[in-house]
Amino acid sequence: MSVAVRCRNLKKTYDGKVEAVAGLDLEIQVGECFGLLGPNGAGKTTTIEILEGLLLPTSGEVEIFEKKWSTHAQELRELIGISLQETRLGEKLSVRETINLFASFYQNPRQPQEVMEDMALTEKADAWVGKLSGGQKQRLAVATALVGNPKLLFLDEPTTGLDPQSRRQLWDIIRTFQQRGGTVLLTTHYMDEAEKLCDRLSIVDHGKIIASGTPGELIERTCGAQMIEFATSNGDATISREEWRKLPGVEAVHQDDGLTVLNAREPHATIPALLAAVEERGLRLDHLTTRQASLEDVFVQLTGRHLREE
Amino acid sequence: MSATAPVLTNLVSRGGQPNLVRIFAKEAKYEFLKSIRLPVFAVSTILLPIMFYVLFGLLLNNKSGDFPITTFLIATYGTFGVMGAALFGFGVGMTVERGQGWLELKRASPMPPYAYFAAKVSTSMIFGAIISLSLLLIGIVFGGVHLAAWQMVKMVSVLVFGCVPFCALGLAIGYFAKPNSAPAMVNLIYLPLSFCSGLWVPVQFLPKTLQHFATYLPPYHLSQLALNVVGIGQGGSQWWHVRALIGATLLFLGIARIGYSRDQGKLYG
Ligand SMILES: Nc1ncnc2c1ncn2[C@@H]1O[C@H](COP(=O)(O)OP(=O)(O)OP(=O)(O)O)[C@@H](O)[C@H]1O
Ligand SMILES: [Mg+2]
Repeated sequence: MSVAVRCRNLKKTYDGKVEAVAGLDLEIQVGECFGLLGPNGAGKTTTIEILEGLLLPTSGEVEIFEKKWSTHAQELRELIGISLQETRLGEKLSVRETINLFASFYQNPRQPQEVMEDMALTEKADAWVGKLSGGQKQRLAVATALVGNPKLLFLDEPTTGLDPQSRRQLWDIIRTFQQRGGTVLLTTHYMDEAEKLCDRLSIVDHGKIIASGTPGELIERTCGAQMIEFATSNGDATISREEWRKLPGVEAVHQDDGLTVLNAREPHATIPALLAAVEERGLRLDHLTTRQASLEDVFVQLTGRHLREE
Repeated sequence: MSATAPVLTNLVSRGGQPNLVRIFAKEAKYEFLKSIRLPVFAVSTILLPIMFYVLFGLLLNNKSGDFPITTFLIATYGTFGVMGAALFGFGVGMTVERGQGWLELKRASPMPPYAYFAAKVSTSMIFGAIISLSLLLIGIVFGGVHLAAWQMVKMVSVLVFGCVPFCALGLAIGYFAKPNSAPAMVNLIYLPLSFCSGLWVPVQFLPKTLQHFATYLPPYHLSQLALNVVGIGQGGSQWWHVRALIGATLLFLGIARIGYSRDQGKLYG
């Protein structure tokens, strides 16, 4: 397999002060859908803009399809499609005109009509961009990324602001693009999105990658398979974390929003022991759920913070 | 923009057909559509000079003396209009598009960056043509303006190509101004510059010091070139005016270049 995106020890410091990217390595294979996941200000946009050849890194190397921006910019621009986190397209052009305009920039563009149909924009073809809803604008931004018939798609938070239905539509489009051999790098705040869509992902925090792998691997490796959440009351004898940690099959314990959360690889052993411990101390169990661990849990586990502060 | 030559050969040779022409034409067409559909832009650049002309040239003109005021004003309001189209198109248009990320998105595409600028210059020229033709038409129909065909052609050409130094000035403003402050900044330059160059009140009626000052201002030279077509300029040599305009263009491009490297130094061309 060949490499679509590779960067080594990427660093970006804004104005000599803000270290937005602090030594980041990535290797994305051709045909992969790769996700960059991280909280606000983690450095996702900065990273993706460097990879897109829009921003110079302070240091580090970038190769796209094994070529460097400094020497092959023109060639690379034909191969990539991008949608920026925030773009306001010309308000006074219609959807059709905007897509046509972008098509004209490329050697082998796709049919604007076809792209418009894919993005469910046909109905709005003649509407001015200024009159579209937020989600429709977002879809148009992705359409301008797709119309150049790219081999590599960079999508910076493509589904932020979309309703659930539009989000699924966009997932389908990304999958179709991937099935035709395309490579995708996307950033997102949505865990479920990353889990469903990405073959592999990296979790970024403070400009560094803190974990990488397939969603399954990350969950398995960091959290174990199941999360057991519970709350107890009626006891002056609050049980310390340490003690919960000693229950069979428990890999880690943390408090989250009033709940005690256990990472359990073998819930069938943990749950009976948990119930027994509660019983033994005369506590009351106010809350008990078990669920599959998610990427959100991975993030909380790694940083002690939630990905999105609601 | 040093990549111009390789880009050119690249695009022409690889695609077989001159793709560049297509990019350029599309970009120019949409740039024009975008501008004309923006009421603020269309009204202030096209209607303002025409309104001034009707007001001061036709309605408030007491026809004293034998000064051909209606002809004179075609040249000066024409200059005023062309300058406005260029300054607003570049200065305001560019800052806004930069702020919106629209420029960045294009930069990420294989579109050669100069197609964007070329489109903006063409749009300014088309606006210049619309403005000067409208003034001519109104002048001929209502203002008793008599011009030979070659004079009309020459006058319009001077005004159309005369937008270039102001495009350069707009570009310079565009690189230094922020989206919010750009319109104010353009107006702050546009209006005093027009007045001091004798576009509203003929330069010979301005105070002596201002008359001298005017010779340092590009709009003065453009209006003089246009006035010379009909033989009512102040009499400086054509070449002097042309040289002044070229000099101004280079100066503004130099300033724009500084702004460019300050602003986009972080970016790949
Ligand atoms: N142009 C800039 N000048 C100075 N600092 C910047 C600039 N752009 C980003 N930063 C800073 O760099 C850090 C990383 O920002 P970046 O936009 O890459 O984060 P992000 O992961 O994309 O966040 P979000 O999820 O909010 O989009 C932030 O601290 C931000 O304030
Ligand atoms: Mg971002």
